[in-house]
Amino acid sequence: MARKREGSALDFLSVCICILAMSIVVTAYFYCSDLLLRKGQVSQVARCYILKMETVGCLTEGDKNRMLAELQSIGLQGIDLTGSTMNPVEYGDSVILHIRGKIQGKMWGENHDLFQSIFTVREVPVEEMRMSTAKH
Amino acid sequence: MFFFLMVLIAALFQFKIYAYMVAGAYVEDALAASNLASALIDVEEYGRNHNVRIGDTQNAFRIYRDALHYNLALDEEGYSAREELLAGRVQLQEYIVYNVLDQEVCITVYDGEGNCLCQENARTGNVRTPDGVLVEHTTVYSRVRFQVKGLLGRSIDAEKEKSIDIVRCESEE
Repeated sequence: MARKREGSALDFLSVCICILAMSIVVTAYFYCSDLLLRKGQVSQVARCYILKMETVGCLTEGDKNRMLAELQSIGLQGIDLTGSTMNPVEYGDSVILHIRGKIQGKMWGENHDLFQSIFTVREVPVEEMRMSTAKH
Repeated sequence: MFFFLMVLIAALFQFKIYAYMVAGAYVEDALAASNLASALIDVEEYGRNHNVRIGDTQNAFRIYRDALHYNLALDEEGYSAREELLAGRVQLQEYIVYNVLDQEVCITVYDGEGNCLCQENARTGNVRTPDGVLVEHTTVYSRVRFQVKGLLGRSIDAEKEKSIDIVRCESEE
């Protein structure tokens, strides 16, 4: 009959701590990746609409509404387009697309309480600036 | 514990590589947008004989520089406000305009300060941009040097180049 192996609770505890710490690292990695991914999606939208602005000479009302819907679907909140070219400009003049907003993401918190500080929901500011010239 | 440390180091490296990729894509994106911004064709010539060429290359360089400063959020000295992506000064290295007319390419090369280094002509089919793109249509190429934050607070030099060509939309005819 096999004998039960000798061990101590401390061995088991250290394994548990390692697993817990690893879970935190992996979770943090995925949260950060998700934020970067969504930031990339906002850049993609900005890239698309600055090209449209080039061909029209401004950000039209229809394009603006479509862009806002796309940005909101990504999760961008409090969108501010101040500074963007809204009125048509002449051929060769500058067209600007300036998007400001906030993406909600889980990050390391600022609280000193350990259990509250890990992965609290925070708003991360996002800013996209694109400049080109009108070619319509 | 050893396994945990290995996973932690691997995750750190993976994340750093991802951050480099994001910084690279950010600069490449800005280069493409700035190249496109400077690609202002001579409208009169286009109206006369449908030739797509950049008339004033010096003006194109100025527009490119302004657009690059805006797209990379650079200050007067060339430092980006996006410090998390670009650590040091962004230096414009080269700006080249390839104007294609009939079977000839007129190449105008500018340095980072906007000085015209050379102007030469070549046959189409024989000309490639420094990043290896065959010049078949009027093309703009640019290259910048910048720094990204490495591990342990060190800065790493990086370079990006991009060429874009201007193709006439056939449906307009």
